[in-house]
Amino acid sequence: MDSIVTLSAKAREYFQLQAVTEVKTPCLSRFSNVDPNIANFSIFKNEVELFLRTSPESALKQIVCRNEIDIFEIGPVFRDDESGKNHLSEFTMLEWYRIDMSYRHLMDDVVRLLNYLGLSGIIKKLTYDELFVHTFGFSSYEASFQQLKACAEEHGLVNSGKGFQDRAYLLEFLTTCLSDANLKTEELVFVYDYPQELRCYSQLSSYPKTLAKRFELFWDGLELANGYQEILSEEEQRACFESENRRRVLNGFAEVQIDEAWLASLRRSELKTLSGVALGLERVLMIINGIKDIRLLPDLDLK
Amino acid sequence: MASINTNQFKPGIKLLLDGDPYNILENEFVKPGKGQAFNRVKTRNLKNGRVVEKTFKSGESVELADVVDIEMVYLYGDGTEWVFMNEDNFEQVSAGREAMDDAGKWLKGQEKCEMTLWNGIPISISAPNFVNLVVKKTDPGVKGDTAAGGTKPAELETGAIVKVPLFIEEGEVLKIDTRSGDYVSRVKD
Repeated sequence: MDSIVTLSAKAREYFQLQAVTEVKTPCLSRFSNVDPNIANFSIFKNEVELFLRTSPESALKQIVCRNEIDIFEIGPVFRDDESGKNHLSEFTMLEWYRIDMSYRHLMDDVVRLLNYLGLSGIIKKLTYDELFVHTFGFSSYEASFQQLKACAEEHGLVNSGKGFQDRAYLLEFLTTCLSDANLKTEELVFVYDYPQELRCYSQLSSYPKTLAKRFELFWDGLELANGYQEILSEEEQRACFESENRRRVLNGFAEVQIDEAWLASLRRSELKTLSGVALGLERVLMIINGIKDIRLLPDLDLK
Repeated sequence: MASINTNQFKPGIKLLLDGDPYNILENEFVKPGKGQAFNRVKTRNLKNGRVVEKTFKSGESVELADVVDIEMVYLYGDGTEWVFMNEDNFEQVSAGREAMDDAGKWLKGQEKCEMTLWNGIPISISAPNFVNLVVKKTDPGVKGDTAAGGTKPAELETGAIVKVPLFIEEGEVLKIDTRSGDYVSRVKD
């Protein structure tokens, strides 16, 4: 049976063949993430609050921008308030960045890696809107706020006031319905070209429609990977952080300090195209080993 | 009003939603890597029994319904009102037709039933899973026909009508599964 250790060894082999450099970045950071939907664990050192990373994104981007090389990291990440049959508070993330590669080509890179790890099968690629129209009968791009709200209520979302003014929140809910309704198949399904409200830190395309250059990979409704063609403009990245901070306030959280080291590395960078993706290794292991509950993985069974 | 956070959701918790009491049957944490976390909950409306799926934003507080299940002994009824007694404190509570639903047709007296009270008022009653009742009226039995095969209607002492095998005679005692309304067996004295 494969374990995180054997899986990591295979991934290292793959990246060595691809001439992608392994790096190791700190788990502790001065900055928490701004995303209102992902919670950091925090600890105190001499009364200064430090945060356990929820992903190595900031550190890795700083390295890529400075050195202009392809890199990857395999390491633990930590997320508070997440536990369940598909969620662990601590899990192993494989995150990598490719210079001069578009998000479309990065999807193929993900497939090659997964094949190398022993996960193969039918591969499908669907745009977000194809899936949306198929499930709800209307396009996510053209939908009015009222239409999204009515659709969310029809699918059982309880309106508790907060968040119901927010188009992104409704789309986030409807996305969970999309994957439940359509992606419960034992195939590797890429969903790409997200509506701009769900861009996270991806670049936007402007033609023919404004879409986010983002993809996610699903297996049997389970999200395995999330990738972007990365924002390389400091102003654009700052605007994303600021908009996330506004959403935090809307949801009753305090604003957080923006990661200036990340922004400074973008300011100095001359990269033209950069794509990056993060893959949850425990979830890949669940599939390879045929385990339905992530808490039952052998690596975690310490009793 | 008492309320509960979604991270304390588990089966058996009773919620008040749109003015109706609901019982949580299943609770699942749904969280896209990027994006809002939700609790997807399968719930039963305790007034009409319908099962519906509801989704809550994780971390929200939801109002609890004051719902309790207690064991009560059925005393008597007249077809519009059924009277029960709590054996612990001898308090009597009467239930109307809506709360009784189908349960009344299996009861003749002294059965222990589960009663669900919402704000102190009965909203549903479950008859015991199995009851033994006498056949009051049915067509004459067909001798020798004990193999599986045809059925015929029989009226029981409480007025309930059930499908029984052809060999059943009037006056016999039958064991009935009240959840399905099915004949189970004959009860020998």
